[in-house]
Amino acid sequence: MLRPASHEAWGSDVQCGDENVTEFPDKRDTPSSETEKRLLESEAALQKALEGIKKSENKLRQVIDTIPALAWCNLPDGANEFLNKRWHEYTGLSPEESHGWGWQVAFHAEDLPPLMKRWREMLISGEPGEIEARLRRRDGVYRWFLIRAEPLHDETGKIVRWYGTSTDIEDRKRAEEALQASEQTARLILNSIPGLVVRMTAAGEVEAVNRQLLEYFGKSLDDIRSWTTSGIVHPEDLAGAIEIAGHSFATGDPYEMEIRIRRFDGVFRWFQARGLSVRDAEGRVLHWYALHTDIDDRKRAEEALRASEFNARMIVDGMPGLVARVSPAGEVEVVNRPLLEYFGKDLEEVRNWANTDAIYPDDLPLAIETFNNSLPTGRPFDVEHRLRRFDGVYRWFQSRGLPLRDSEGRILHWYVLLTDIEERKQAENKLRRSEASLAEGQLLAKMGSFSWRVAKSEITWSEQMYRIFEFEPGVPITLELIGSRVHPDDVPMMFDMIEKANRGVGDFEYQHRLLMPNRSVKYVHMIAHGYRDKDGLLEYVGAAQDVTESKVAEEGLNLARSELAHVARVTTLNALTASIAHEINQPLSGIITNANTCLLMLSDDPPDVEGARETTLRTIRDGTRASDVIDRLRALYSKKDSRPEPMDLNEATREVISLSLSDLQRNRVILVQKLADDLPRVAGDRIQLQQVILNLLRNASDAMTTVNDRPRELLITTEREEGNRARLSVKDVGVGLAPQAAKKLFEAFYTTKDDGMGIGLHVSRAIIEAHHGRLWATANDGPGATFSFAIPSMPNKDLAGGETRAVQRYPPASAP
Amino acid sequence: MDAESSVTDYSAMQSNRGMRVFEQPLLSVVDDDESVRESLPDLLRKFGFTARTFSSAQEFLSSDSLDETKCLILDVAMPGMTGLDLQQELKRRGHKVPIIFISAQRDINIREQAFKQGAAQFLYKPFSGAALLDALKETLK
Repeated sequence: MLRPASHEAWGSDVQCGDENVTEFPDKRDTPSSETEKRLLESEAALQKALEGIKKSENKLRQVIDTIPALAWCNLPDGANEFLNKRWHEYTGLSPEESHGWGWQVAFHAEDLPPLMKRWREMLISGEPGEIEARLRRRDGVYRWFLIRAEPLHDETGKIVRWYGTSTDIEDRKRAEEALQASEQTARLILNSIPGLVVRMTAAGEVEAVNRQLLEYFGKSLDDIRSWTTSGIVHPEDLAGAIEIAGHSFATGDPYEMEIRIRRFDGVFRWFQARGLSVRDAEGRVLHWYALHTDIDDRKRAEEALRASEFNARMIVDGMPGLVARVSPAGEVEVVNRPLLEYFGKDLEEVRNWANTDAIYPDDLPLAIETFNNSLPTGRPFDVEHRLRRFDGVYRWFQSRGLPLRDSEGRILHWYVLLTDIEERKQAENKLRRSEASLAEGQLLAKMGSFSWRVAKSEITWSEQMYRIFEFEPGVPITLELIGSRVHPDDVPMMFDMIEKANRGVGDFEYQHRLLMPNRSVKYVHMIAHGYRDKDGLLEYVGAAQDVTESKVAEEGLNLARSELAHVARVTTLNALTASIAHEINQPLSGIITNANTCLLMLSDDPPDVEGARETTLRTIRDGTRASDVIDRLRALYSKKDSRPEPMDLNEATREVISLSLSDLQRNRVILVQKLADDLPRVAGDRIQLQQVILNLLRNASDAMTTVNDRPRELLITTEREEGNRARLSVKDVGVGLAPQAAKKLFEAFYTTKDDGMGIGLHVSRAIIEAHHGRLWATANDGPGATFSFAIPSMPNKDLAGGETRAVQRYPPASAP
Repeated sequence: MDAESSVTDYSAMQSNRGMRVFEQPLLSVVDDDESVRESLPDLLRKFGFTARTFSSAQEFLSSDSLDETKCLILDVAMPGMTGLDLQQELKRRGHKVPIIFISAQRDINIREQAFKQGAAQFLYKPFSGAALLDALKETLK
């Protein structure tokens, strides 16, 4: 790599150094022979010295050429005199090309002007100096070099040469640039990270901050420096912050804290502040870097979560049930407060529930079994058992467990809710007992209960109902099935009931017969109450009693009663006769006695005419007296003048119906009533009018006793008639009226009945006529007859007072 | 006409029936009915008796005729003390006066009760004069 030319350059270089570096002895001061000899010797020595010098020059040259720098020597005017081998090798320029001012071409065009300027300054000032410039390598690549120049002065102080080196600083320069770039990046990072950064001294004094911090505070660096007093840290957090940071500044330990820092607009936000120290090689703290991260949202979320957890806890503790969280393995993890309070135990004791008396011993095996079945399968459980309260009392609880699973379906926890069902349990027991006693009672009373949802045709029967009807218990009940047991004669009654139910009639009551498969007959008394359920559907709830025994007894009693009635009638007649006889016999007795006396007096001789006259007068008087007795009796037994009072004919009719219902039912009469709402009040004698109504009902019922081919229907109607009269009609489907009989009907002692007295209609007509009304009979288009009466309504002037009295006596039937 | 009493000689009747005229035994009539009290004494006098009338049992009991009365003609149905009651009361007091009951009520029970208590005769009103006379003769023989 060394080119031959460079040797020559080194030669001249050595030369130039000779004059200044080396001093030779003066040859002219040496003697000739001696001198010569010495001269020769000297020459030899010189030769030797020269060789020595030569060697030393070579060495120097080698040194200069091998130092890791470009070395040069310039003349005082700045032109180059010498460049070392490394220069040539680096620049690829020959000594000729570089000589004088030729070296300038090796420098970067941009750097040359400042370089030359500087070089001239140095030449003028004569002071050593340095400059950096890019130097072209021989492959064309420029590298940075530090160029240093030092002047060499002679004895007079005049600069004779400039010596200099050019050192490759490219790597350093690159590193510097990289450093600068890196610093730039760091600054960018600092200014763009979402945090507030502070650099502090080892003692904690603020040195520098990033832009965000200034923007956040909207304050100057000075305010930030005095953060302990400038109010940028929340007063509640300040003392703690000073303490923590102070401790770290004293010990060098990192710190971390959460504090509220005031934003430019006065709002405090939560920040996490972390401080780290930077140390030198010896471990001394150089700086503190503190990063403040805004955690306000997180903090608020945490607080919300805490609040929500608190609320959840409040709910769990406040709920009227005992709650436990159980691990998948079955260990009690957490319980709510009411649970602890109920047991009066702590969590440890509760955990050991399976081995304590917490669950009633009889209930424990089932509880454990249920628990053990559910845990591995994850099936929710629901079991009832008794739990021991703190005071030793066991109460019934419903224990329900549900697993909570993660997204992969693994069970995280079990949640168990224990609900106190003691009261429900007791109510259940009570209900069970009550149902049992009801069933017993129904059995004893031979009375069953039922419900009938008309629209859905749902019929529910109690056990006893099945027994009465002699059906297999549990057989679905239909109307057809019931109908199969009803006595054929009473089937019309059942149709009537169904028809009423479909019309939505509120209540009904029937007595009917059942014909059993063994042809025996049962009597059933049935009462049903209809009401609308919450959906507005009609449902009847009722009871049916087997009254066969009492019915048989009742029929016997009825027989006895009618016999008794006959006896009573006879007895009454006897008493009446006796009473009449007594009253008549007294004066008759006087008459006969007087007549006897009179006869004796007249047969005297002479006849006692005066005495006879006297007794005859007494006879006449007694005869008159007997006649008076007859008049008195007539007055006594004839009806008194009726005392009319305002009355509601419908009310009176209802009373009569309720009195005769049993008789009518015994005669299998189906009574239908159509009582007008707008019926005027009438003035009348209530008892007398009721006797008339009763009489008409009985006549109608009696007229139907032989009717078996159709329902024995009796229709009783009230309505307002023209001219403000109230009319009541009783219509039967009985034997009816023969046309010629209609006229005679109301004559005394006329009757169509074999066993009747015929007095009723006659008396009835008399009563109605006394009320200024009329009573009449008409034959129906179909079978039977209709008897009606009509009486005038109460005159208006009497109405007000009358109403009040009537209301007092009879509360309105419509009032529930 | 209370406590009216009159004495009438009825010799013809007496002689017809073979009774002693001069004795004129006292009969007492107790009846609440005025017609009886007016008519009966006249007839009894015609039969030859002396008769006194009383309108009630109490009146008779408090009179001075108790001991003299040879026969009592007594109504059954009276307000206050009845004829049967008076019969019992006289028996209790030891008076054994014979009693002919007269009654407007044809009640067999009362009749039997009266005989059981010792009644002499029992006549239903109205009765004939002959029936009364037979009863008196039967009682006083």
